[in-house]
Amino acid sequence: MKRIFVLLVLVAISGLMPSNAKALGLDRVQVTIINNAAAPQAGENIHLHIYRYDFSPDPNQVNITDIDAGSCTTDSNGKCEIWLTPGMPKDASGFYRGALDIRGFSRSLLWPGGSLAITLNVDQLQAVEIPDEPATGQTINIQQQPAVNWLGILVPFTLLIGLIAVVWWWRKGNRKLPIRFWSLLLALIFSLLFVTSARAAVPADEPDYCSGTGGAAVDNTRCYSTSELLEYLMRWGITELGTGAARSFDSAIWLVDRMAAGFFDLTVNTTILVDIKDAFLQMLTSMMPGVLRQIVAGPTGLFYIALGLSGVLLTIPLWNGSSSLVRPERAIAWGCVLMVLFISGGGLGYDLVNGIETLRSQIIKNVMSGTVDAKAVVTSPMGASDVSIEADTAWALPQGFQSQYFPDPERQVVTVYLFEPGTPIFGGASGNTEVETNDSMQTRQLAAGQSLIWALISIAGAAMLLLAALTFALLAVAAMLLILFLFAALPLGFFEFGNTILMTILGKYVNVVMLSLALAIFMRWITAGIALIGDPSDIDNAIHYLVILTIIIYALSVIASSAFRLLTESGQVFGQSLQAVLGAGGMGFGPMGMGAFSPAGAAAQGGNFQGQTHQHPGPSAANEVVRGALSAVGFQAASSLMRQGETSERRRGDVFQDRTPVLDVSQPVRGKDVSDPAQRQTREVGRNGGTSQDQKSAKKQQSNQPPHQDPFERGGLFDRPTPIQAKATSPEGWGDEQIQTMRTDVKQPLAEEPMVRNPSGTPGFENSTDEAIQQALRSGQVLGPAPQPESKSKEERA
Amino acid sequence: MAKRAIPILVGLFLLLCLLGVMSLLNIGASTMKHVPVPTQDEIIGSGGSVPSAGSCADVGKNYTDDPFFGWPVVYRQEDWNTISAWYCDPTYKNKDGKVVMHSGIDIATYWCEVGECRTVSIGWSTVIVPTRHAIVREVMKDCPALEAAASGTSLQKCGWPMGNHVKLEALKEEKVCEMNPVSRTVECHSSWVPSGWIATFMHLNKVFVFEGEELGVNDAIGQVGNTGNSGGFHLHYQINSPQGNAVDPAPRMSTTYSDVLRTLGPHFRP
Repeated sequence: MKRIFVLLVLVAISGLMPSNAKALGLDRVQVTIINNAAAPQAGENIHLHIYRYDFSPDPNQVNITDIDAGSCTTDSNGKCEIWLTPGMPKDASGFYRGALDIRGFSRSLLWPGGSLAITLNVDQLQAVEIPDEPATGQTINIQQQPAVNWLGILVPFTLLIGLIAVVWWWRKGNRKLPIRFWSLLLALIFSLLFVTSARAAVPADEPDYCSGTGGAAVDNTRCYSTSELLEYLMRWGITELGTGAARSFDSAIWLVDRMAAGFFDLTVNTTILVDIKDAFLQMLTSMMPGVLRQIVAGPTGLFYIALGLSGVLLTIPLWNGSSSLVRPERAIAWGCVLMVLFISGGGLGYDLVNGIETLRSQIIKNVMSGTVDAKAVVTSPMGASDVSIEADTAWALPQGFQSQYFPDPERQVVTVYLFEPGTPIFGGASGNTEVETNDSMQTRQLAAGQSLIWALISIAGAAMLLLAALTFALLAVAAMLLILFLFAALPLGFFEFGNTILMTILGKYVNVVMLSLALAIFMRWITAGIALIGDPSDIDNAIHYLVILTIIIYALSVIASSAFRLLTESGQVFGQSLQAVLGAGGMGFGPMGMGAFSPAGAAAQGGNFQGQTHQHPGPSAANEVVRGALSAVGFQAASSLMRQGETSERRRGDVFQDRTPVLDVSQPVRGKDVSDPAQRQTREVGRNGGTSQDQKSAKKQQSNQPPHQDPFERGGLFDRPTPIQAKATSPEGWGDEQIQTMRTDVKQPLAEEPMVRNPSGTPGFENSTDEAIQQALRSGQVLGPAPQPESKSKEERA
Repeated sequence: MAKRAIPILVGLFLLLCLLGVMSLLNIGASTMKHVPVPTQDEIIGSGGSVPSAGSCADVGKNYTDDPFFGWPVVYRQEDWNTISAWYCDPTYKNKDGKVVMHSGIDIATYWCEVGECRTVSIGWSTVIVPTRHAIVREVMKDCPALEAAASGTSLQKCGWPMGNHVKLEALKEEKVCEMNPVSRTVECHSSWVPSGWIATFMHLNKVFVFEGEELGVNDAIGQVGNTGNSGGFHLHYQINSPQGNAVDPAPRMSTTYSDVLRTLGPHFRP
């Protein structure tokens, strides 16, 4: 009941407001609008201004304040009236001085108060007198009294406060608001309405596109209601957010583009890598001759050791025709080469290496230099001509790109009606403002979207440049690494294994040169090909661009992968070679049954590299020789690799002739159970040159294997001791397909199957000759003791 | 925390929307129709000496010694609807939109009533002397007269900016008392002397007076016209004080003064 009473009171107050306002003053302007045909004009929006003159002691200084005295809109009879609120200023003689604004024209009003009825012809609105030029008299300053529609501000503001209060109240858990709150809120709102019942309105001195006044034609696209304005603001905000995000994304992409281009430029077009190489070789040239002299021709030089060792080895019959560790003719020849090229003061060898590497760099540069700039793959899509990066332009897009895809918005003046004409209490309140045109907004959205395409294209180009630069850098690093290894391995050239190491290093370097040359030619070719596509200004070219770049990137990634593999292999070439050497020592001399390898042990003791006199087994003694040599030249990394090589599994075979790892079926592998078929298959895959994928498959298969079984049960390794049983990964035995595969494998030439060279040490093959075993393998015959069927064994047991 | 921020964000959003809407409430400059101003070579005839401008400080100021009073035309007297521009009118702007001083008051011959708009006929658009006694100080009547106000003929280039115009100087009455040597009595008599107050009537169609002629109240001066700096038939009525500056004519045109003017009887001649 109380609520109804409060509401009724408030409604009554609000209903009385207009009459209250009118009752407060008697001065008014009654306006009738007609046209040339004397027809009343409805819907004409009219604003009344009243001027107040503020005089100052300076007679030439008068300030005129333009006071918004209200507005009205003509009805169907072309009539409306504007009431003047009390306090409207009059001049010293009691005159109101004002003007009516209609359709952008101002009609001066001068009347001594009271009611002024005026009829205006909208077709004859014009000034009867044109101000002369130049203006005469004093300067008149007109101040605009803020024509703020307080209703428009206070009411929504109050509603906003009320909304926030409601939300706050609701959040506190008091879902049910008390009547006092609503009463207070409504009373506040209507109090404000009463206070601001002057019906202030916004003057429409500018063209009104809603009513077609002010010299403007009616244009619905430029006439906004409040809701349409809010909808526009939301669309504009989303557009600004989207274009801003696209601009930021493009800026980041462009920064990456420039960094990639700069990296490519630094790697290919500058001398930074050559300078690093020169400094590196200069350091080696100054350091290596003395070191080599000490190692090779010093009191305990390897040259003398090699000569002595070769003499000793000549007196020892080698096992089964295996290669000797050192040959006297090689030691002598290599000593001469070292002396002439790398130890004598001339430094011819270093100049030769430097020249070769310089030639490689120069060839790349020559191939890459041409009319087509590879950096165009990033500059062309972004419409840029410069890829420089400066601090103040780091995030700045190219000017052409910016102007094309992020144009300035086009704006137009629109009329916005805060309150529609004729709205009770509020009257009509409108204003003109600038908003972005729909076409401009759509254009900017589309352009921002297109910019992302070009940015993606450019980032593809940047990836291409980055891959190419990275590949060139990797190859340069690999080349320097190989050069370093070459110098480190020079003293080992007296020995056969050293010769192998050197040849491996040279082979890797040749790979580096070939890959560098291929990459340079490839880059030259693709840049020329991309230039043929043309500027990616349309979508077709852009698609071609993107497709070709994708292919190129894939090709470059393969090349970069090869370069990286080459680099890693180059880094491991020393270790792998030493590993192979040490493995060879173990295999070569182990079966001889020598408790100690005398020459190597003697060398180790005589050389006293480590200051140790331990008796080492054969392979360990050889290790000490090499490790001592490496330590002597200060190459701790290689020495470390060598230590790692000591712990790796030993393989059988002559690594000097064939470096491929082989499966040793004659003795167990240290650290691994050869009876585990999964491990055997893994090693077999490696022997056959399988890829890492194959190894992964093998590991996967290994994980699928059942737990370890005794190899002597159910056809284990020694039940069927043939080499091809190394592939017997299935505990259930072989399938037909596996057997067929194995038969095909064993028909390969025996020269490439060193795994069967010395199988006679294998248990069960003691009475077989190598030739018989190999002949049997060619025919796929099962050798050795035939496996006994399990059922038969059971019967025998029974 | 996030839930607590929701009402704040909603409030801020609504506040931003409100501010965005309210920012639209800007006030623009009023528009005015402008016509080209003729160059000096295009001006036909003598424009005469334009009286000095006034100051806005005189707006609404009633100078009691101003001898000019009442409505200066015979039609629609005290009809303030006919005032199309007043002294120091802020809507009086040049082509650059800059407010310039309007030192007189414009009384148009065109007005509308409910249902129709009228233009007073030239014959009844007579300008009359708004003072008791005046002398014609300057006359310019070179511009051809139009027989119909709606003829559309432009006479703006004639006598720019004032066109046909008349300058009147109000005469003030001074009593002179002398001793009659015969009757040995003091005899007083009135004498009309120049007051220094000048009224200028511009843009006239026809001029009925000649320079040096003395005129009485309500005597006809001419017809409201459209000559010189004029975009329509109207009278530019300007009063300059003896100090030379223009003053606001409006305070002396009010009902009180018009009533006085009417009591003096019609002396105008059509």
